Amino acid sequence: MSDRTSTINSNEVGVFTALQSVVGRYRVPIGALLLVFSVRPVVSMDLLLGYGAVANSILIWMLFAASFNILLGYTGLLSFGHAMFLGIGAYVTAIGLARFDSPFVLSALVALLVAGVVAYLIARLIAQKGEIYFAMLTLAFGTTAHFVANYDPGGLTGGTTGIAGGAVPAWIETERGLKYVSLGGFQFDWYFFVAAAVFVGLLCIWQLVRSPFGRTLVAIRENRDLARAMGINTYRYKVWAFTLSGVVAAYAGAILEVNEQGATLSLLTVQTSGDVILMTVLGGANYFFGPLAGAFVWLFAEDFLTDFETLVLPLEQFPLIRVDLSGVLSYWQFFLGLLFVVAVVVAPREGIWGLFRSVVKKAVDRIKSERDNA
Amino acid sequence: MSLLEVAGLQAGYETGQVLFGVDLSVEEDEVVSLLGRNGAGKTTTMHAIVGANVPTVLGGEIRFDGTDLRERRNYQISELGLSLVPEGRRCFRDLTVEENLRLAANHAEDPLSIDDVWDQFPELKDMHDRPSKNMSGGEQQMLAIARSLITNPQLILMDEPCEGLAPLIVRRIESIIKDINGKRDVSVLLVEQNVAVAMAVAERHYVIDEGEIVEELSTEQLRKDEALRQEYLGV
Repeated sequence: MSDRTSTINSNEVGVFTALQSVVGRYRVPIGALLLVFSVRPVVSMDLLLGYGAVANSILIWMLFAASFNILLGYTGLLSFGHAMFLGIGAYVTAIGLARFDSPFVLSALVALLVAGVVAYLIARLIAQKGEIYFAMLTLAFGTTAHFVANYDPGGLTGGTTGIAGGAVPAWIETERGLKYVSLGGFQFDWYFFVAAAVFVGLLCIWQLVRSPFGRTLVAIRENRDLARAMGINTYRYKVWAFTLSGVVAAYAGAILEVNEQGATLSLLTVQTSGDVILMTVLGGANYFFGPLAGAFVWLFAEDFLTDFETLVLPLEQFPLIRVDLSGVLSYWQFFLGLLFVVAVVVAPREGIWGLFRSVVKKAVDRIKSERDNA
Repeated sequence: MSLLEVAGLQAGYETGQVLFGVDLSVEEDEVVSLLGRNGAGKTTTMHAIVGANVPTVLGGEIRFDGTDLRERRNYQISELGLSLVPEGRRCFRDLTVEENLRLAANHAEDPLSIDDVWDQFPELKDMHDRPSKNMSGGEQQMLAIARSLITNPQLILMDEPCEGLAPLIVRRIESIIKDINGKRDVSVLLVEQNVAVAMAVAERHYVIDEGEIVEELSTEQLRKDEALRQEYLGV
């Protein structure tokens, strides 16, 4: 021990350990806060994409995937129809704005309510079905939602074109393709609004999964029979998990509606439902940050790999080798699929985030043991 | 009237019938054991009583404190004061010790306080924020028993709680069972293959073989009757 460490008085040590325990306890919200505000700066780096426009949709998809993980990761329910709730969120908000001239907040609240009621009713019907039947029924309901929006009932949903005109709230201003929020005399970048809104959504999910309700969901996922023997009405818990997860997805949908200035039919496709499953599994359903990591890697890779044309080695400034990859990388989904297969084969519930955690943990352990040896 | 009354219980799975008329009873404040070889029908009897893990009950009566359990759904049985400690130390692996306990308390009618449980299991208190998957087998077994106890039950069904544990831990589990019964007046129905454990904690013993109760005896009778132990239990 050096002299310096021994002069730290016990008071300072007390403050330090208190701080440590606060950080330990609130590491998820702290991490989420850092995350939402660093996505754009990170993807805008020259080494990566060099532009930040995609950061908004990455954040919204992160929230959507996190809402899906309430079902898959925490409750152990596999839904093939989660896009329905993202779509309800976007469509109902857009209908409110464009067809009824109602303010954004009211439209969005109605959207959450509609999504909640629809999710509750569907869950009442199917929550007790076995795994494969549950999955098939969610697929059927998801397809139904797509059909309804395409059918354009009463001219509300706009059929195949979706809702495009007049679906942006009055407090959004657009300059040279960039969106700004102007509220009460302040004007700030749309990205900060998205970041704050997604952060609030993530906080809600975090509070939900760490509450007694959320712990009960984990118990049901781990051992349904034991949970029942302990007096847990698993059906009721599954119904409410499905409902709340649908409401959070609709919240993501309402933000997405503003981001895309309308609602498009593609939101309701089976592919959207499939994408969110793949993102969640790729990222790691076992962890709170798993689906977020999955959504990030998925959407980032989509842009990064389609932009990537020429591999220059060893450095841009000293081009010794040039390889033209544009032909291969137009099949970027193949490489993402490969990554997905590897993640599932290595550890199905761990994903990229689990891998990242174990690598960091090993490094920390090594540093610690080296420090102790020194 | 007995606390638990099982009469003529017949039950089985898709693959075939396992129980062919099981009769047993547990009085208030009593420790009873159910002994038998592998496959004799011990666990099936347990699961038929609490309605877990789907053995189909084909006939007979199961009454707990006067209530017909066959009328109830499986998640409605524990609220009557009947709790199961399943085989194989089943804890919720991703939940911490304290979360496992609070989960059980949240779904009980009139649970004990968590401090009552810490008093009974001081070793669990020291590891209250550890996920149960990171605990030893003996610790997980204690947690499974503690999780039952916190629901403040009248009767705990334990399925081979000492299986695969070191002798020292087995002694500890035995003393816990006696304590639960002595201090808290909880009845225990203990399923065992290990006759020594059963004799150490229970006053009365049922022997089950091929889905039927073949013998009911006291600890003294069981100790003396070597021929019976040899025939039905292989010891």
